[in-house]
Amino acid sequence: MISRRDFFKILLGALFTPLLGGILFTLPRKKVVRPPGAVKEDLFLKICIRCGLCIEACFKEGRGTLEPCGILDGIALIGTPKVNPLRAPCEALYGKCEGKLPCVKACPTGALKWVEPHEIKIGSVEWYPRRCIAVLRGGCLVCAEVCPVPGAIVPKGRIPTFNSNKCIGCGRCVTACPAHPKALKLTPKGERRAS
Amino acid sequence: MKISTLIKINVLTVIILIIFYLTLNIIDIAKGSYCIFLLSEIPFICPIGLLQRPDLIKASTYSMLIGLAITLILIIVLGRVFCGWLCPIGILIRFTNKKARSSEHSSILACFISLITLFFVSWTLGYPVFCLICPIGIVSRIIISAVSGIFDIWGIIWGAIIFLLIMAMFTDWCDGICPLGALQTLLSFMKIVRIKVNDNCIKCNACMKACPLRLKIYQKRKTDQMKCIVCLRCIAICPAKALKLTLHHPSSSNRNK
Amino acid sequence: MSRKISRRAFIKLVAGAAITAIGLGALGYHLGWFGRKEPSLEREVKPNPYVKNGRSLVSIIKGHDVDKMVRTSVEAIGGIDKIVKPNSKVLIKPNVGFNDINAVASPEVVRAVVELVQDANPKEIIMAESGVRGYDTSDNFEATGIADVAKELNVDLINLDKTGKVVRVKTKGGKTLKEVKAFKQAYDADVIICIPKLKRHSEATVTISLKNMMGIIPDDQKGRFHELNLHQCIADLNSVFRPNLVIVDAIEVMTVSGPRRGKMIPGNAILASGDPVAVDVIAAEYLFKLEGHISPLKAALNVAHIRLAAELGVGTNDISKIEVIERKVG
Repeated sequence: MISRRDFFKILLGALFTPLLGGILFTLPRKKVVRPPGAVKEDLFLKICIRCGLCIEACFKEGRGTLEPCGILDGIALIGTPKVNPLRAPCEALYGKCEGKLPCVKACPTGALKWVEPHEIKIGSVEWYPRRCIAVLRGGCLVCAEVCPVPGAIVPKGRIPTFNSNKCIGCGRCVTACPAHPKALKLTPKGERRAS
Repeated sequence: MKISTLIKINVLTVIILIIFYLTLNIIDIAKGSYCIFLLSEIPFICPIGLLQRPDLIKASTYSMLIGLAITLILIIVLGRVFCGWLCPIGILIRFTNKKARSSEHSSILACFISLITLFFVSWTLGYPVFCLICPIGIVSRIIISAVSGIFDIWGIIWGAIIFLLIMAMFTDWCDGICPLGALQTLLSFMKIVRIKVNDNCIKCNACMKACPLRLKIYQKRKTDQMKCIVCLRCIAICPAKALKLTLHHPSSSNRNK
Repeated sequence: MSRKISRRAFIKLVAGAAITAIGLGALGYHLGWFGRKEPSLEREVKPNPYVKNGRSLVSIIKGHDVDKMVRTSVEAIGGIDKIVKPNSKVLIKPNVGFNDINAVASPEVVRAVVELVQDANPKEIIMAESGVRGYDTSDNFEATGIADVAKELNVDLINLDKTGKVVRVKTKGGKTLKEVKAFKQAYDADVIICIPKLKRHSEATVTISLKNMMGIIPDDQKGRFHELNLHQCIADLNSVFRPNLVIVDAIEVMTVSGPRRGKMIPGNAILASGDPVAVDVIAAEYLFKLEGHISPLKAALNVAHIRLAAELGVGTNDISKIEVIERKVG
């Protein structure tokens, strides 16, 4: 028969993984930009099996913008895919993946669902005028130059202005911004998730 | 065969599997790694991964169920061969494991408790809690990131943290705490790949000292057969040549008690 | 295992660590991770052979037959053989910065230029581009049809962003940049033939041949241009990487705004010259004229990077030293 001490040792061992996982689940999380076609975030975190197949498909058939979330994004998010415009912009619209969405096709669990082009909005861009070359010195409107959406970035004189309701969150402006540190950041604000 | 040779073969089988995953992904024959492996449109999903996700179970496709069925049948027939030869964490644990606890205790109970609490917590939270810390998942993602041209430094750091945690707290990870091991143990109740003891046994306990789970396999306990990861170290070290790997017929009268 | 580490083992550990550090340091120095930098390279700039009586020749051919227009434009200033010799390594640099057909040199013009160069039979012809940051240059090639042209004519089409080899080249009298980073293919070429598209540009006012040369520098260097002073940097770049022949695609002209979106007006013209400053002046004048500007020439001469390039001697923006040859073909 088992001694009481050993019984508690077994109990602790058996409870370890679910309890540790449960505790880590409550730690704070960042809001990250998900690939196009992602379902709502709480459902996404449940279904995504963190296999990385969408990341692989983006690298092979897309621009290679997806990467796995790390510890700093929140332990509950580790392994889930996020869009990183510093790697490449997401060309789900107006670009390489238009009509194709290799990330969605690769997802084996349905955490990424097919969406029509007019439904795609993965986030919007945030502008930091204090870092912007156009504001500080003039002579730069690269963000307005590369933006594929008519009317999303409009130069008013020497300075760009941003219409976040037109912005689809592709991140081309972030990739192209020549400022160090970048004057633009991609956020999930205004994103449309698949139902 | 010497134990050191077995250990070398064990390292080789894990490395070969990882290279297999890397190559098949790079040349597009198959996709995925430990967490989910897609071969000709059939997804072979980790059963623990699937069972923690009630939403996914509800939405599972026929091909997913076929893949799952094949995985479960392999485990039922072969037992814990994955743990013994293919698990990347098992091989690391066996390298560093100096003192495993003795096998006097019944950890079949621990397997049940482990799995039931896992499913209870993940189904009520609605969240796959083990996948957060699963060390096999970490290795799986490092492989896929490498295929995608990404050096997953945060994955490696998290993997190191989890591994050190396991080493510090549990030297018997494989014996009922790891949910995949626990599930495979419970499914091994009618496996055909078994270790058979003949009458040459002198009860010297050399097999127990060599066994990573410290099983006294000569005691012919059913629970020990279920926990056995078929690593073959006991067979290699037995001085009386009393142990043998056999295919056990379920209907045979020569059943171990 | 004993807690204490023996003295011998300790010395071995420290020695091993020191040797590893020195070895890595030497390797790093050798690979250029840190330490002294190699001196930047020099590049010879050949004089413009398309001159007559000390004046730069600029042809402007109006019409509809693209192939005939391109050939006539080069013939009118002196013919392709003046710069493309049998032992020349030719780099053709079309504008393929975006994946939008309106924003790039049209495939018909590119085809005509490649065929013209192929007729002169040089040693090597390559076509290369490094597109606008945020756009995949290979994707640009496919989406605009330039990739198909290259395949049909069997000419190497190179995405410079993927080839990786970058060299540092000294500028000739550059005011902001003393040296510029450029792709090795551009450095190695004997002859650079530039095919810009006549467009407006939000920061540079217009983008013609001088601005088009930014396609031979890597992305981080392009960013530097905007950080420092775009117009001066364009001039500094062209001081050492001056195109030997420029053929401007003004079949459809992007007016009012650019370089990605603007009002497309038919220009039905091809301009050619061996002097990038002169051709930029004449082309910009044509663009402003199409927009209905009151004094298009004055506006063209006011474009900062054209003026700064003339100051560095890249070409001439003095109208009295430019001879414009106008022709009309079918």
